[in-house]
Order: sequence, then structure tokens, then C-alpha cells
Amino acid sequence: MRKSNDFDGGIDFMSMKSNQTSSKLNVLNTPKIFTILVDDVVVIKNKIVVNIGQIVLRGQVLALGYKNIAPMHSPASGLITQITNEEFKFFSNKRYSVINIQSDGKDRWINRTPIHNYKDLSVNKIIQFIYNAGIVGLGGAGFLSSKKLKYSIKKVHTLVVNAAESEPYVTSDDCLMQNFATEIVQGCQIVMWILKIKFVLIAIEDDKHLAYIKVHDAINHLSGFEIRKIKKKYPSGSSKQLIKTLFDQEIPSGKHSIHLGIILFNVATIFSIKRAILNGEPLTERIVTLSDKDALYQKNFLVRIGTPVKHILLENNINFKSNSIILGGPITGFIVDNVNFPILKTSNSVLFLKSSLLKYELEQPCIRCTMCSRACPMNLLPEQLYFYSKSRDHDKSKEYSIQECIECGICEQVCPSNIPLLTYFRKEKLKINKIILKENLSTKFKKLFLSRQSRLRSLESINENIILSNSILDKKFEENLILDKKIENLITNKSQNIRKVELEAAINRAKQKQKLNKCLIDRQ
Amino acid sequence: MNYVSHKFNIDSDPIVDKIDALLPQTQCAQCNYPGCYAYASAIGNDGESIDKCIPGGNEIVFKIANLLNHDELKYKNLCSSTNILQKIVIIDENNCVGCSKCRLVCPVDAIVGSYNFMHTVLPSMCTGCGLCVPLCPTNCIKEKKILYDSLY
Repeated sequence: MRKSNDFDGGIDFMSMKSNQTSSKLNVLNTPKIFTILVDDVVVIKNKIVVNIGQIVLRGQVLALGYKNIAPMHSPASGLITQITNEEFKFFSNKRYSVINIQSDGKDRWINRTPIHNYKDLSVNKIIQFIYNAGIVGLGGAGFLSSKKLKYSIKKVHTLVVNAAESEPYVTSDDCLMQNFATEIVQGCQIVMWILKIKFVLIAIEDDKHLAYIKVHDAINHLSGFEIRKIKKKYPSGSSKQLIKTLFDQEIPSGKHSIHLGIILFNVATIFSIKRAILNGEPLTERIVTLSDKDALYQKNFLVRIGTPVKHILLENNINFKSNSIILGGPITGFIVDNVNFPILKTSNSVLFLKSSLLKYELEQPCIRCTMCSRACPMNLLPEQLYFYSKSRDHDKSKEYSIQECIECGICEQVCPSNIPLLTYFRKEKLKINKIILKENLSTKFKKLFLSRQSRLRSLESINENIILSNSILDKKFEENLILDKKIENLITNKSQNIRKVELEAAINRAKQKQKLNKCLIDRQ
Repeated sequence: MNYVSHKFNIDSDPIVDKIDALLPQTQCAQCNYPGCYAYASAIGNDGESIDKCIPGGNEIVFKIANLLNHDELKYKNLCSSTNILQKIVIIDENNCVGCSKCRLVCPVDAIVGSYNFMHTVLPSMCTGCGLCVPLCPTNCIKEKKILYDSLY
């Protein structure tokens, strides 16, 4: 029998979290210039609402949402200086367009409309408010919270609040719980009212004693709330592993926890839902941990979304040239080359390490020690997937269910021959997604082509039927038709001649254009 | 034999269908055949060389080679085409005179409009084959590259 409070695989990292510093919340000075990243799809669909030179207030909408992308809000009041298409380095070669805002330092808000009597309004309206506030899952995935809520109406019976920050160095959720425990409970009550849930489970890792006490005090006299400590083990913060540890149930592949009747929210998301409804504030700031390699310097800041990383480091007198910087957790995060890269909605920590530490050791051949497959929390075979992805065997890697990989990065940490497995898998996943997209497109095109052909065939058959019926009726009419056909043939021959002339004319035109271009180039 | 051929009548060639399923179905005629099915039947029946599909690129060549038991090494030095981008055709609607030449040629009925009226392309249906570009008398059809993700 398996234990109910555990999952397969995973490793116990040194937590590198100092409990003393995580209780205090520092406030950062606002930078002069904010840079806000907007997804490229939003730009294509013309969803940016502001123009260059416009004065905006804090909380004003900059770009509307589209499908899976939430609307963006201005983090401070000021002037919009530029809107450009820049290419930031990221996992994929995704393009972002950048909106720069010069803050005036006055921090004027838009008219905030707090809704204290949310129980009088309809459910859809409140979900719409949550969407308008631009709230996404702040744990890391960045999925739209409003869509999650809408999808799980009348389907769920428990709410799980994910407060298990399993990644080392990160203490932002811990700090949030210690400072805003009552507000988190209020946020839970809003979600409970929306989905008509009567049971809430808050899962906290067992090394966060202070946060546990604070939340325990906040929910002491309330019914339907329960708080549970779980074992400190990476990746217990992942949704599938959390549900396995709490309920001893496994989510089947290709399905979501909602299918089991459980809805999962991060603590920070619930806090921002409370802020959006009871205070009327859209999502413009979040708590970010700043930490160094030995966790000697560890602080939590309330940072506006869109603050450049450079500003945070300069405010704390850290030399960003001799350090290399990681945005996000140390395992799933990514190295920032451009120091002007801003804090995103999903980034929960900034790590700075001495640059000598980041030099990767040489990648050596795989020796099939199977350390990675023993450590994998999803029970996959990383060494097998590595060989398939290296030899571009997409069908085989799909068969070994690479899409189930949650990108926790344990296999990479465990590997004795320093193979960057996670980067291989990310690339492979992107490629597989592209292949699926292409297949969908080709089936769609084929359907369209066949429908057109059937249409043409039906037209031809109609013509033939006319001819047959006429042959019975009158011979003269038939002769007329034959004459018509002869005339048609003549016309087509003529048109072919005309086409030849046209082609020659077009070729001449093109040649003249080329000449003109050459002249222009020569002049320049 | 007569009875069997009558009873288990096969309309289509199974090998040609399999090759056709691998092809990208853009119907662009860059292989000098009028469509993807015609090219597939030419490969299956007449022994046409398999490396003529330009939008398909390397991957499709390898797939067909696997299907037909060709020697893959023969095609290893092909230039690879990265298909991250897809083409789409756009009509400049102010200059369209409504000759409806482009509409008649389009293999997937992606162009909408009638005679003497303005024409437009439905971007979600366009395969980017570019057959309509040289036919336009006013030169108002242009090709545009887009990302796959922005379609959906």
C-alpha cells in the first residue's frame, strides 16, 4: 500500500529559505520608466487601446484581452512614451510588443469601485469583474482565472488553496500569508460563493510554521475551512502532485483536476481576486522575492508589474554586471540576458548568482543509469525521451507521452552526466505542438478542397443533364448548343492568345520595375 | 474474380491515399501537378520523384520515403524548409475592380465576391498557395507571412 500523503519520485532540496526575513514585507520605490510586455497576438488583433503621448492613470486598461490572454493595466500614472515591437529572449522565440510608461510619481488611481455586496450580483457578472481586473494564475502557469471559474461552475465540490512553495529560495507566498491571512480567507469566501463550495483545503509545506499559525488563527472560528501540512519535497506545488498527496487520486492524462471535482488556486491568485472585488483594484502589483545564492540576502518586496529587473537590483545596491540573474525559481526559471526585462505577472522571484557559478559543465553521453526515471514525479522515462527527441523521432516521443511532462526539471538536477534534459523536452514539446497544428490545418484544407470539387462536379452534371434533355426535345436546339460550344472554344483560344500578350506585357513591366529599382539603388 | 471485384470494389488507390494523407494539402501546384492528389497519384503510379513538395519540406520527404521503402540517405542533403511561418494572401480592397479571376482559380474557395463587386480573402481558409497572385490585372493581391499561433 502506498502512503496517502506522498507521491512517486521527486527530491528533497535544501530549502534555502530564511524564516526571519520572510515575515517582513518591504516596499520598493517606483521606477521612472515601466516596460510592459504585451503578447504579439494582441497587437495583430488591434487590441491595444492607448496611443503614444497619452496620459494614463494607475489601473487604466492598456491592452484588451484576447482568448487566453488577460487584459493589461497601467501600473502607475504617467505618460506613454513609446509602443514598439521588440524581441525579448524567452523559452520560445515568441515576439512581444513593448509599452513604455514614464511615471509622474503622483500615483493617481482611476475611480475604484469596490463591491462589498457581491452576493447581490449575478455569478457571471462577478466572473466578468475578475476577467476585467486581468487576473491570471500567479503560481506560474498564467492561465486565466475567470475561464477556470466559468468552466467549473456546478462541477466542483472542494477548493484547494495551493500554498506549497516547493521551489528553493522562493518565499513570496509565505510572506503573503503572514501579512494578509485575513484577506486570503475573504478571497476564499468569494470563490466559495461563486462556485457554491462548502469545503476549502489550504495546503502548506511543513517548513512554514509562522504562516501556518497565522492562517490557522484566521480560520479558527470559521466552518468549512481546513488547513493541512504536507511533506517538504519538490515538486509538491505542482497541481497533479498536490492532488495525489492530499486526496490519493491521480488525474488521468489529458484531463484537469476539475474532472475530479477539485478546483485549485494559488494563494496569490486568491489574494488578487479579493483585491479585485472588495477593493476594486486591478492586478498591478505582486510580491517578489529577491535572493542571492546563499540565502543570506533574502527580502520580499511589493513590486509593480512592469518594473525592470535592473531597477530592483539598483535599489538594493547590487552590481548586476558581475552577477547573472534568474527570473523565477532556480529550477523552472530562466536566465535574463537583457537587464531591462520587466517583472511579469507570473514571475515570483529574482535570483542573483555570481556569474562563475552559472558556467555549465560539458554535456556528456548518457550512460543509462536510470536515475532520472526513478526521480521523475510523473513516472515517465526521461532517458528514453531524450534519445527520441535528439533523433527527432516525434511519433515515438508522442507515444511515450512527452506531453505529460510538467517541466519540473528534477531529471536535469539528478543527471550525473550534465545533460540539459529540460531544454530538450521543451523544444520537443513545441515541435510536437506545431506538427499537430499543421495536421489540423491540412485536414481542414483537404475538406475545403473536396467540397469545392464536389460542387464543380455537380455543376458539370447539371450541364450534361440539360444537354441530354434537349436532345430529346429538339434537334435545332442541340445544333444551337453545339454552335455555342464552338464559339466558346474560339473565345478560349482567343483568350489564350490574349493571355500570352498579357504575360509578355507583364514580363516587360517587371523588367522595367527591376531597372527602376536598380537605378534607385545606384543613386543611393 | 469477377464476383470478388464486384463485391469488394475499391474506388480509390490505397497507396495513393496514404501518400495524399502525408502531403500538406496546400494545393499550390509548385510540384508541377494541379493538386496534392494528382502529385500523390503520380508518385504512386508513375514513379515520380518524391522531393518535389516545397511547402512540405524535409520531414514529408522522409515520411514518404519511409512509406515507400526508399533509401533515406539519398535525400539527406536536401535543404530544409522551416515551416514556422505560413503564407496568406491579402487583397487590397480599394483597388479591386471585381474581375473575379482570382475567385475562379482558388482551390479552396477562400476568396469571396461576385462579378463587378469587391473581393476579399477569408484568412482562416487561405492555404497561401499564391495561385491568384499572377492573375490579378490590377496587381492588388499581396502575400503576407503570419505565425501559426495567430490563426487560432
